[in-house]
Amino acid sequence: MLSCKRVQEQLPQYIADGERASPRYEALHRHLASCPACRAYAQRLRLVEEALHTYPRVHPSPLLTDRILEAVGKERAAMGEWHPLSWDVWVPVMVFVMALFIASVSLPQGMLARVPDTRLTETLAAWPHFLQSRSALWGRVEKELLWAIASGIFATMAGLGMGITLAYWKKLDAFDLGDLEQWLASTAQRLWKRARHV
Amino acid sequence: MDSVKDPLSDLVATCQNGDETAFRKLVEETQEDVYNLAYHMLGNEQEAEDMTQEVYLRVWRGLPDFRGEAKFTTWLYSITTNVCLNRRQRSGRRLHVVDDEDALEDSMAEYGDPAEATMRQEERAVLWKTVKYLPPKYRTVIDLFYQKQLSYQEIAELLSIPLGTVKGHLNRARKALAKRLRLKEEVPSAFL
Repeated sequence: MLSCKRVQEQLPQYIADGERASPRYEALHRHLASCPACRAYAQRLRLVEEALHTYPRVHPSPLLTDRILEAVGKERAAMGEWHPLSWDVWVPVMVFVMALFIASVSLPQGMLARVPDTRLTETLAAWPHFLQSRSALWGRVEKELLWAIASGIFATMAGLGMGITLAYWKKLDAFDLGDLEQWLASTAQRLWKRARHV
Repeated sequence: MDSVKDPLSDLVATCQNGDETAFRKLVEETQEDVYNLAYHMLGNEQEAEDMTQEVYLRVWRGLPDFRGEAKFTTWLYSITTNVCLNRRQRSGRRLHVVDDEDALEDSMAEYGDPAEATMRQEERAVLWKTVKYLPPKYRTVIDLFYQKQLSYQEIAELLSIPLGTVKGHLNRARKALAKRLRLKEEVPSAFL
């Protein structure tokens, strides 16, 4: 004999499926025949089922169609117009250009003048020997040149990173200044808590 | 297996040729379904209208790529659920939402029912009101199953959740509603 708990587990699906006779539900039928509490529960579920089948629809404002078509019309019209590059393109480009500018102005004086001289040519020519003699290459490459290369790589990675992040945000359709503000506030709060804990 | 022709396929094909009148007709024929689904997912009329507009913007952008492999309404509901889920994640708040069945009962305590109504109508009205306070995941499957009349399998595919979870959500919603009816029977309506 099934317990009331087990029967009440099965009843919602049984009633939703139309109370069809099936060998699977024989024990359930026997239980219902002898248990007034479960019969009352089944009756409540029938009312629920009926209410859900007749659940009233909600109606949008009669102006909604026009509002939708107006928004689509605006987008259609905007497609033929000239647009500046979207921010998820120009922001990383600007970051990259600015990083290059900062790297170039902070190079030691005279560095840029020396780069095109024979030392660079010799450095590049040394590449085939790189595998055989790394020390020979490092000896030729000036510290400042390495610094400039590192700055370039850093700027590229920063630009790419920011571009990917912003593009991902946009893809999620989740970019919103309010969200950003909320995220910054919660991150600052989390960091502050961690710092205090440490 | 015979495939049934999508009743909207001709209209959709006309829209794909850039016919604005056909697009208006498509919006008129389907917007109430989209609005109802959005309303059940978000629990707020204004947000439901905003999201309905967003859904049709996406439909308009995506129409050239729609191949008709699935029914148009399946595609439409899938856009609607995505847009509304994104909206819920973005807003970080839950509107008209009650997370568990006990809280559901608490929040429903304010609702009485008109004395002139018959018992059965009264019970039905109580249940309809209660549905609004179910968690959005339950309201969503209720809308898709009872109003859109999608199968369990279609709902599972649409929401990318297992079929058992769809049945589980529906059964938990039914139980919560039945529990609400029991409460009503046990406590005089004057106290509810």
